[in-house]
Amino acid sequence: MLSQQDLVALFRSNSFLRDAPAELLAQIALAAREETFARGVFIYAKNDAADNFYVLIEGRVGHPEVQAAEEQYSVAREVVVPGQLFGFAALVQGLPKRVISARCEVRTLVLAVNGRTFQALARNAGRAGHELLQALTRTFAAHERGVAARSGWVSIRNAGKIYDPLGRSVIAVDDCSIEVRPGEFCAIVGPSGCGKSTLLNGIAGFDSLTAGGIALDGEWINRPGERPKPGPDRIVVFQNGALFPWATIRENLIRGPVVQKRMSEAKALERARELLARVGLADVEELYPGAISSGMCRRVEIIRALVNDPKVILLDEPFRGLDALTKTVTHNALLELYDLSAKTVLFITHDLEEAIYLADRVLVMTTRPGRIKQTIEVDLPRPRTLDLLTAPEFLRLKEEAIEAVHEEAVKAFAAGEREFA
Amino acid sequence: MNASATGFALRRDRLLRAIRNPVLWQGAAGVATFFLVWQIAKAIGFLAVLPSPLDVARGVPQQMVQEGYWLSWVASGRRVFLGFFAAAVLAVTLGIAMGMSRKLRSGGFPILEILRPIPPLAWLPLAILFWPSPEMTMMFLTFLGAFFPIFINVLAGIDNIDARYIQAARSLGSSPRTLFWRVLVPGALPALFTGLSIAIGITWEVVIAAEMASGQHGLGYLTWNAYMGQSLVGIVVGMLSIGVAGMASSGVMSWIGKRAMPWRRGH
Repeated sequence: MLSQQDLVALFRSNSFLRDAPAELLAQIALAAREETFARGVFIYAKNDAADNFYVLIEGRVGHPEVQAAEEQYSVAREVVVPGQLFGFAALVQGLPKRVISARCEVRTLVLAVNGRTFQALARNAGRAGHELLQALTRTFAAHERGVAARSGWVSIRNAGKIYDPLGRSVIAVDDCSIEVRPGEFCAIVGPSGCGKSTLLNGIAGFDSLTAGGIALDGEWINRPGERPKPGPDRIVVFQNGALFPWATIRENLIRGPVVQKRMSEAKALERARELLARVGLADVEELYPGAISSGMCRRVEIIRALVNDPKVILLDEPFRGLDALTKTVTHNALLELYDLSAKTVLFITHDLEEAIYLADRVLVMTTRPGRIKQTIEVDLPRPRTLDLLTAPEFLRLKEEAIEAVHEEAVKAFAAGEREFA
Repeated sequence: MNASATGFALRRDRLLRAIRNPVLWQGAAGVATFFLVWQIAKAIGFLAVLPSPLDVARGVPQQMVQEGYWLSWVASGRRVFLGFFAAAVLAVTLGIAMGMSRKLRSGGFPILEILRPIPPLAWLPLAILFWPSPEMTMMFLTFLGAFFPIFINVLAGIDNIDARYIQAARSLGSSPRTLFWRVLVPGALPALFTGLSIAIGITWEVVIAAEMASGQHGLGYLTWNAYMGQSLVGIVVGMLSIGVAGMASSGVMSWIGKRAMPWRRGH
């Protein structure tokens, strides 16, 4: 049996709890229960109700699902460090089911804390408590939830697009191949006119390809000679926003799932409200889009995409023209929604900082004809916060990207001059 | 009881706010200035031909009780409304059809472009010969006056709907029917109402001219008749009546527009 001091010391060794108020930790220690599990026993299994989360005291706990998906997700496969937390699902309101399971690899001693009790304690602990809860929620989203997501694999294979205006063919995209993993946040940057939007329109189904093909979860959605069909499994958030100005925010949000008859109006509304509240837009649903700011519109539009439960969300320079402050708020809203939804996101921009801050992987495209010139893996931890913008690792990645893009921009500029000469 | 009391209080508040609205008073001041300047000009000897506003005001009751005054309102209003209504129905139908079908547009647009520059009054001789009654002639002319502005605006309204909205709607899984009712129609409404308010102004112009040329009853006929009877006050009262009628129709038009497009209230 560990003493109160030992427990607090154990909590302090955890990176989430390290800076939590001492009083809160003492309260958690009181609420915690020590439990022992034999080797091979499941502490919890997938789809169990999630009531407790756990702190490892000693032993080894594995997540079988994570091992299976090792290639795709950078999630800890095993819990081995004393003080490490697992079973985050219990910390998230409204998500009462386990999405992965936990099995003891050896005889294991853990500390079980009831999630509801913990949430209540943390909420009473003021701002620090709220921040702690938020960080834990987002970690859950980025890790366990990320593993649960299995759809949204976008595969662009040798895609090519030749426009033929006035008989003079323009090669917009040439032999371009990209694989976007399920649940990945992938950004594409490149000089204007490099064919980024052509690719995105190809995935969305607005525009047909002239070579190659695009597949979603292994099925062709765009092949040359076939008329592509847009659908609610690939929702686009447009550059200047495309909320219907003649419909209220509420109608905008729930219309998709309701006309597709996938959700009742009440259900869709409930979902929309939940998401609106998450990004601080609780009381706008009666308004028309013209009555709220453009930053708010962008947030609403991202939520409209999510309410439709697509496999992939396509963002076409959605934050262009927002001022710096609004951009920051909107970035964080997008990150939070992404962490929670675990959807595949393809994000097109020419703002490098934004791309690196948001994405798991940044692809730099060449100037026309568009191809992938360079891939920058952004292995920065999630949940991401604003401190990251000044971290040395972030700055290094940014420098690398700037160099690649600058070269292309110069080429694009020269090509433009030639074209107009 | 309580609810109706609240409803009453709300209505009273709205009325009070409307009365306190400076825009209303500025407008009233403008109208008053117009008549004042006219009166002064008359007093110092300009505008010898015209009656003074006071003369007109004194003459109004007499004009109003005159047999046929209110009948003229009804007659002109009916011609304007029926011609306008027929034009709106046909122009919206054709505009939408041509807005959505490229074939229809390339087939039908050129002939309409030839007919469009012909002023409605240029149709008068032919219309008198063609239609069996003067009443139908006049309605036909108002119809012509209203048709083209509505048609052109509906067409432009559909053309100018941002492709993003159509793409977004298709992305969200809308059927062609939903796309039509939920995107094309509301998207074209602002342009439609622009067309309707231009058209209603034109129908009044046309109907007055037509009545002066060939009518019986009607505000145009009334004014012309006053001229024939050499009643200066009668002419001015007739003109002012036409002005008020036109203003009232535009007012009704923009009221309907506001109801139909609640999202544009803030604009």
